[in-house]
Amino acid sequence: MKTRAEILLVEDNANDLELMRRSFRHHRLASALVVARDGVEALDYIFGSADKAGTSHTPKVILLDLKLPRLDGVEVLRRLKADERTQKIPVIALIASEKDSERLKRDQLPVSGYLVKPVDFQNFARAVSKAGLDWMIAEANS
Amino acid sequence: MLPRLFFPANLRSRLIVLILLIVAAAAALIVSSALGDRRLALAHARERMLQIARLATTEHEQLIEGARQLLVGLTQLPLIQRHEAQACAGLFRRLLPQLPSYVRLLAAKPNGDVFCSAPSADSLNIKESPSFRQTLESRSFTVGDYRTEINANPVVSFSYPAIDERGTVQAYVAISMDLSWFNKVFAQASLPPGATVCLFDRRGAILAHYPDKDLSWKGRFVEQNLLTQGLAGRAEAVTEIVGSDGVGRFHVVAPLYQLEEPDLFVSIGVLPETIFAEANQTLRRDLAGLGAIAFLALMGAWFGSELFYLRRVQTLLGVTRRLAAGDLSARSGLVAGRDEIHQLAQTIDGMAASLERVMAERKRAEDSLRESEQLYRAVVEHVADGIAINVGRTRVFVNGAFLKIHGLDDPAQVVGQPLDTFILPEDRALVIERTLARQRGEPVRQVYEYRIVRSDGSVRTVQTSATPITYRGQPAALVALRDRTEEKIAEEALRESENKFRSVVETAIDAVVSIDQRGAIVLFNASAERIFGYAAAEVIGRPVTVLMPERFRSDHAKAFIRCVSTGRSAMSGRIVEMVGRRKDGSEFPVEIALSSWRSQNELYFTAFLRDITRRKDSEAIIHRLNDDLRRRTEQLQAINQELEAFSYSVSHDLRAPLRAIHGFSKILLDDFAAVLPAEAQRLLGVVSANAQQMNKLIDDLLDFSRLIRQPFESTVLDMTSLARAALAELAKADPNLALAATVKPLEPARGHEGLIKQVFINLLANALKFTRGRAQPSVEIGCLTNGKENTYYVKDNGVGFDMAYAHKLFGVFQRLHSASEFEGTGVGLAIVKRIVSRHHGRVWAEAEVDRGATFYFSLPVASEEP
Repeated sequence: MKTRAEILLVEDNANDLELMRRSFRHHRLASALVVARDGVEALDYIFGSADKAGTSHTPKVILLDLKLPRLDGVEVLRRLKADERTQKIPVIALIASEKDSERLKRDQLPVSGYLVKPVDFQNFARAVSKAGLDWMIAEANS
Repeated sequence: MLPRLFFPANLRSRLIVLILLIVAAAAALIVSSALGDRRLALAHARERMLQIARLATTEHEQLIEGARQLLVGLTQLPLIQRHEAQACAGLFRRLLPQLPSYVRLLAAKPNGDVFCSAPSADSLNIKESPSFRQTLESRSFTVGDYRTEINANPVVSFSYPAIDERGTVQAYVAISMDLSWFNKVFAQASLPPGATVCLFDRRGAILAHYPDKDLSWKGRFVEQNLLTQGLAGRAEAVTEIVGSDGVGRFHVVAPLYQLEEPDLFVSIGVLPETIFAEANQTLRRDLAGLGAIAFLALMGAWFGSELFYLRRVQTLLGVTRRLAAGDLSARSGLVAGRDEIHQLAQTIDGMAASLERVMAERKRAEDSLRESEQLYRAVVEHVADGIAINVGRTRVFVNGAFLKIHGLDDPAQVVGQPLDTFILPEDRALVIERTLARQRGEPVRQVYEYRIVRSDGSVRTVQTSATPITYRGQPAALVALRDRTEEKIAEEALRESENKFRSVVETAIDAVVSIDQRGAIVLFNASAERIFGYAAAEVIGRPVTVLMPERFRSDHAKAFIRCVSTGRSAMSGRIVEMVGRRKDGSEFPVEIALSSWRSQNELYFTAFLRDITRRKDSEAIIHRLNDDLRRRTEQLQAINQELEAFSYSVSHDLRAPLRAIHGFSKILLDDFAAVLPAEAQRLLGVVSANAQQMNKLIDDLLDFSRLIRQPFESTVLDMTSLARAALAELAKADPNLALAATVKPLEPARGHEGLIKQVFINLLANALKFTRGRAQPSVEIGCLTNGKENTYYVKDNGVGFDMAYAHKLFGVFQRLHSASEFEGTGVGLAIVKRIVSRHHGRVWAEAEVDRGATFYFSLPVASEEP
């Protein structure tokens, strides 16, 4: 399935997912939201896993929780940036506290921005804007 | 050397004189020997004469004894004693012819009347005869006088008295003995020809004489000294006496018979010719032999000297005369032979050769002297040193350099002037004194310095050296002069520099050791003595390897050879570490800076050494500490990383439920406000606020964990309001219980506001928790201070605890009560302890079960720096 403004949300916490969906509910981007529950799912979705007939996806933006079951978010990020097909996809890190952003800087993680959970649409829009993806907001509000 | 007058000049005559001298000596020896022979012959002759004398004596004694026996026998005859004249005369007549030695027998009465005699005598009275009287007096055998009867031979009479049984003298009997029997005795003895024997009595009257061909001796007396000799008892002495026949003889005298005094003497005379005949003959023969030998020797000397010496001597004379005349090529040509003449000839030839050589050398020397004279002139005029000649106190000559040193250009300015003209007045006395002393021949320092004033007025230091010489027949001094002003300045600078160097070297804290290019130590300063334990005198001149352990010596030797050949050390300009060896053999690490330098083409190396034992020890300690630190830092970093990962997890996972609580509460309030009663909405607000409070706590907890790792800012804290704020925060959740708490005024302290507030919150929360069941809960916050630190306490009347478990109180997740009794995670007090520790304070508690608990923590007073 191909959408014009595909957003891959990699998040394992169901509560967070629900709160985010509710926040996005009144915006058109909600339909473009694809959820992966862990790092493996996320990579399978993007690169296409062998058991799912190898369908690959190139989301417009990836919202990535760094602490995930199975494959860690940091590892996912590393693999994305290591592959030239995916290395240009903007990745926005999802963090629990403003203070955790220090780690992003310190570890120089190649992310385009970050969002402090819980993610509501306003925060998302700000982060996307910062990442130079204003078209996505325009599209969402249209 | 004998005087010329007594010793002939030419060799031949001298030779002859020498031979004559030898012959004279030999003759003297022969004569001396002959005299000895004569003495021997004389002694021999004396012995023989004495033998003859003794023969005569023996003979005489036998005769006297015979006479005595005869008389003894006759006196016993009765016919004698009874004066029987007829019978007696008959007896005597018969008896006399049988006694050839006797010429008369006579018997007399005691009155002197002769009554019997043979040959017969008529009416003879012998009363007056001394012999008769003596016999009657002595009543014993008497030897009468020796006398010469007129016209008869000399006789001697013996008499004896005839004594009867009553002891009365009855008769006197005498017999007369003819002394001519002597001739018979001597004729029997083999006397040498010309010998004489003479019998004489004590008056010297000759009684018998041998030979007696003529009777001229009768009635004569012997020579007085023969008699004296006999009377003196010097019988065996030999005396030369000229006899009555006018011939000198050697005599011995011996007494013939003696009763009391010697009465009769025999003298034997022997002719000297007979005694010395043999000795004289030997002498004559020896002298004749000597004469012959002397003649032959003289002839040999006369002709032999001509042959063997004179010609050669003449040759030598000729050579020496030629030499004297200046012909140095003259040679004797006598080369063979080893005698003195040949040696002399060779010596003369050698002398001539030497002379020739010497003369040639002298000529060469004269030539070179002339050259050197010219050279000397050139040298004197061109030499850089000033040269002057002084006679007395006046200069008589100076060279160009002398003038130049004095800043002059004309010798006339100096020559003829007193020598002290240009000398600095202070130094004049010194120079004059030394000059005069030298002229007097006293020992004076040959080289010394003084100052001169040049013509331009400048003062220069000159070094002078003087030697006494003769100048135109006068004693003078040759003086050399050198301007040493520049040298003196340079020397002074050098000395100063050297003193500086020495003081630097000697006071240097580092050991300074210099070696020459053989590796021998030439300099060893005080610090080197201290560091190595050697006195400088012990190591100066020894190889530098004594200062290093043996295992490094061969390597050093190789490296040193390389250094010397290249002139520089691989170590030059670098500081290297090596191992030194003290005198006691102990080793120690040294730091060495090495440099090399040259002095007069000798290469030297100087090492500055420092004992770095202490530094090495310190370095080792630092190294170890650094290692420890690095390890601990690594450990700490690992822990920090873990902690950070942990913190992130905590943040991520703990916040998730809070987010949900808050998020969904908010949805309820936002979306369902219309259907919710007011109380429900309030309660949802409390839920949401707590969730947010929890979020804040997580923030603080994470902050705290970061603070463990990072330095925090301390400020002065108003502890009272901080405690109240903490209480107020807690009171939000439990306002009723908060009422039970009282806050006393607290001393300010230094610390981190959030953290200390957290301490109060945790302690108050604890107190509130454990007093919850009390009917009258009471919590008190107070403070004690001792000026250095403040001790804050939170006291409650809660359930307390057993002090036995007090040590577990502040451990993480340690709980003394069950979760069902009191909720809690067991981190509150652990956090308290960490925070207080970070503030350099202490935490403790006192409690009793059911009697409440008091928690204390101390902090530095506010005025003190942390």
